[in-house]
Amino acid sequence: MARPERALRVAVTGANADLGKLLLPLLAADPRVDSILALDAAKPKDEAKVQFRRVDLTHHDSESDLRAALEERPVDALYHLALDLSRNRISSHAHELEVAGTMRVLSAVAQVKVPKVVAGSFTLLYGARGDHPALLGEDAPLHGCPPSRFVGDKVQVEEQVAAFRERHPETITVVLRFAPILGPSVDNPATRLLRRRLIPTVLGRDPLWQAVHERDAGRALHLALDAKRSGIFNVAGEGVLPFSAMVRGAGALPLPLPSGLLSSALRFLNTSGTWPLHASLLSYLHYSWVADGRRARDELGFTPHHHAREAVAALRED
Amino acid sequence: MPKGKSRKKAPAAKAAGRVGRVVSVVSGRTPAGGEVVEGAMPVGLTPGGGEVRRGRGGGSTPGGGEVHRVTTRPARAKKQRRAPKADAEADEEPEPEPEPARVANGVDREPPPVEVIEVEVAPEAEPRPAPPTSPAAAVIATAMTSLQLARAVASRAVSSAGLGRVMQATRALGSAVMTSLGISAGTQVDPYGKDAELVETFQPISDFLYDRYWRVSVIGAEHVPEGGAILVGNHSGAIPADGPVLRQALQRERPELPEARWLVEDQIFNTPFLGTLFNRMGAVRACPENAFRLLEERRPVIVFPEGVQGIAKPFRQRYQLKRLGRGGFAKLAVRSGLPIVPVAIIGAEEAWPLLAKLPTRFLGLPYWPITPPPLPVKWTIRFGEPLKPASSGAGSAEDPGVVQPLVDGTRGAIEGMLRALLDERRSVFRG
Repeated sequence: MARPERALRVAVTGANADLGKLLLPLLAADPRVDSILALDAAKPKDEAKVQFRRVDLTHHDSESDLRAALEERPVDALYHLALDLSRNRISSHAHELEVAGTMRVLSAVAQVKVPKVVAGSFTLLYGARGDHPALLGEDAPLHGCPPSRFVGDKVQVEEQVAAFRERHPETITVVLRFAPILGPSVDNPATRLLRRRLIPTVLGRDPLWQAVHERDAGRALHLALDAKRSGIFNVAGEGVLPFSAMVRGAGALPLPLPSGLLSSALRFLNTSGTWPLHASLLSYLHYSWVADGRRARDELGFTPHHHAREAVAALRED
Repeated sequence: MPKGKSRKKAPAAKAAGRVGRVVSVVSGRTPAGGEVVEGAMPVGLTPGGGEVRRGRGGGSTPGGGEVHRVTTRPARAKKQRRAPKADAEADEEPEPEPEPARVANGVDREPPPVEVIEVEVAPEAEPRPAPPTSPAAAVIATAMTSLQLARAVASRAVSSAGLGRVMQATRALGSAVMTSLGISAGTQVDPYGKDAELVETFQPISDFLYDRYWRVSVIGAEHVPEGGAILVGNHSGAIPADGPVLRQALQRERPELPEARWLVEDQIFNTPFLGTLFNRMGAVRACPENAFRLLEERRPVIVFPEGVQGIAKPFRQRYQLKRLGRGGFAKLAVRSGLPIVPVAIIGAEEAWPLLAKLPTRFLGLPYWPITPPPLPVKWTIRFGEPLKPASSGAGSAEDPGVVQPLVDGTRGAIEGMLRALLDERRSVFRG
């Protein structure tokens, strides 16, 4: 990098969301990082070097807020991690935050000419399909999961990032696609599902899942700060587990149900709104979705410290 | 006299041992002659079963005298003399009775006190979470606990090596069932989906089928080159066992090569139950990406280009090759520059003849095969000379002038070997 290694200034959108919370302490502990500009609608927990700037990405004015913040304190890298995985997520709000919010962030980044953008994403976006190869490379198309808006919004985010990357080759654009992040502190659909005592599975199916320990996920985000080139990287923990093994590893019991019955049951439960697994995501219990983490290892230097088994077991820690 | 007779029988033939054991099991069920001591499950389950000796008059069953004649000795003699063969024996005659009944001959031989079975939760059991809250969870948890209890009792009851083998086979089948239901919870799974633990548990059954039941003989395994090759075989059998058997053949004959994997068409791979089980046993979904990756790992990749067409053909069309798919295997060879090894497999057609097909589209299966249990046919696997593509590279792979000759050459080689092997074969069962 052109700038001296010592005084890195980093901005983080969604600093108060799960990915941001994993990254912030690592950045704070990194001696090369001089200051961290936390951009979020809610103030994150206090860390050294962190300056908070309230920006609500769902607001139509947020682009000028962002631009002002970034012009005032130019940064070397911006992490775009404003994705809503939370329990009380409202679909229309999430759409505004993710799809419109990304548009605003990228537009501000382009105008201020931030040298590096790191965007968080998920291997979920490949979708789970019967015609997938055993290991999905980063070049595989993002089929998503058509009935699910949750996944569809995130596919749109990636499409925008890909378009940005093409238009702005001068900006290093890194996308990290995370396998389900599991750990004691994170809260996402996978952790909410696996924290149940009794977890429905599809009878006669046992798809392969991956998992990444929250500490590994934080490390991968941190490593992206050193990326010298644009690129997309799958970030997964070591190994794969059949879903039934994830269920047992999380200390729960699998309840195998015929696919049709499970689908109707979930649709019924979804209307009451509390069940963590949406019926539209059922394909992830049907087919394996395993991403190939080789590129992250070879080019980003990311090797997971934890096996998927440990990531699942970490759900039981407090 | 009776003792002498049974002693004579024991070394003479396997039959003696078998008869001895079977009769003793029967006597365990109907305690008739002499003093029958049961040292297994029933005792453990009876309260105060520390030393239970149930003696009854011999008159209750007409065969009382017969039962009395059979002592433990034939069984013991058999165990000592035929120790090396014990494995195969156990598999050959599956005995559903897990408990060995001990028949003591006369009062002078005091049987050792029967142990009280302590029920302990199996050590490999997953650590239990806090007690489930919902009633369904409670029911399942209770069921799981009682299953573990039953397993603990059963494993304590098994003491003899032969029965141990039977139990092992039962366990292997049990885990296969769990796997196909999708609740195996295996933790040693590779990215392609093979469950190393399951394959290991299943190994005694695979070995028995390979060595004793199907007596697989292999010709020309030296033709498989190192560094990756595409093995193209004729597909056959209502239940396609040819993939795993071919894999095992390579493991036996060419242990220095990396483990071979076989590719399975979508229609089977994505089937519930069967597809899940196949995947955990080592099958990989047939697609160019997977094949390339396996070849990159320098593995022999087993392909059956006929696909479902090959195994869905009626018995009268046995050993007639269907169309070799769309020649994907040849394109793979051209693109990778690796050779094709044609393979002819004889025996799989008769081992699992397809008698009829039930339409089961509604289950997501192309059809349900009507077939007898596997028949003890002799298998022969023959590997042919490797066929090298005329030129290689991504460009040539789209050139029918390069691909088609390779497809035809492979077809000719497999058909030639099949004809030769069928001509040589005298008997379907003896080879």
